[in-house]
Amino acid sequence: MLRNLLALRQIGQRTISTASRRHFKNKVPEKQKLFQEDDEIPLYLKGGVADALLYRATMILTVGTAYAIYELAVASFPKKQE
Amino acid sequence: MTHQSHAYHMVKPSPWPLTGALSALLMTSGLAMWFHFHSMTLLMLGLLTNTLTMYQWWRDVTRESTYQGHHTPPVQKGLRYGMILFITSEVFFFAGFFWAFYHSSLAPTPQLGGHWPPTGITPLNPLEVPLLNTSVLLASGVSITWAHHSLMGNNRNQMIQALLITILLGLYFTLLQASEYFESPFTISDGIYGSTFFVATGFHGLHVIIGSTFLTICFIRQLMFHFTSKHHFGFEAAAWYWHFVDVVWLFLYVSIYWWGS
Repeated sequence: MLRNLLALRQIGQRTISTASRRHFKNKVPEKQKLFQEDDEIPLYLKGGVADALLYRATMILTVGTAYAIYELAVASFPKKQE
Repeated sequence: MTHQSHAYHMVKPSPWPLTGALSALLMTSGLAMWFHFHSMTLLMLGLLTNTLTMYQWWRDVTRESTYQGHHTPPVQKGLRYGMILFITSEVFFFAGFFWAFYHSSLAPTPQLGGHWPPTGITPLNPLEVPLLNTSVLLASGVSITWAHHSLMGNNRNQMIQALLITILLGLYFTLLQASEYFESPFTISDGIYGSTFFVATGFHGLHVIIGSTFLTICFIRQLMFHFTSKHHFGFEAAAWYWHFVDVVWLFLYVSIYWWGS
């Protein structure tokens, strides 16, 4: 429970960056700090909420579709009657 | 927290190899569905999931390198070897298509009329758009070298300018080639001439698009201050790939467009 609260705090710290109109600011040091935080969040989720959404979408589309095709293949063959 | 006593990168577990493999399955079965059952759904799903995988996988590599510092000199050396080996494999890929072209064109069969170009084929004039395309890609090779030297010399604005010029030249090539395809008097189904022409130039065009995409990613990363004057392997890899694409075109131009007409 406490670990979830701590994780929530870190996710809250991730600001949605808005690109400056004309000149880009060097945000690399901020990113370095963010991604080097010792919080055991895996790299592919460490960027924030957008990471989690993208991850879920990708997994659902790939694993979900592959599974659906598998079930379709199973359903295509008649079950042997004993 | 335990620390490693070596300079190599022990990569953490990641879901992207799995999603990548599954997306490849969806793409290939999607192709079969498109060819035989006139449905593009599975193919589109495959392409989408493939794109999602590539985006997240390479985003993570940027996080590991630029943000976490895992790309030490020995790691970079390994990446260099990797890119060189990959480009070498692509050279062999194109070698096959050049083999097919020379096989058919060096000894034209009686069915073709015993000469090359075959009877009925009006080849494109190599001194028109194809020559322009050659100059466009050669110029882009110059501009990308300018970009690299600017980067090494810590000249941020010039690097951005030169890289932008390179990308625009790449886009220009693609547009010119697309218009050539549209206007061409022969098609892919026009015998062996059509097959060898469009498969070889078609795969080349695809590689130009891939290279342009890679350069665009580098452009964005340069804007975001990811590259330093000493450490910018992503850009170097893109530049190597771009030069490879240029060289393949030169071979295509000389063999198929010029000698083959």
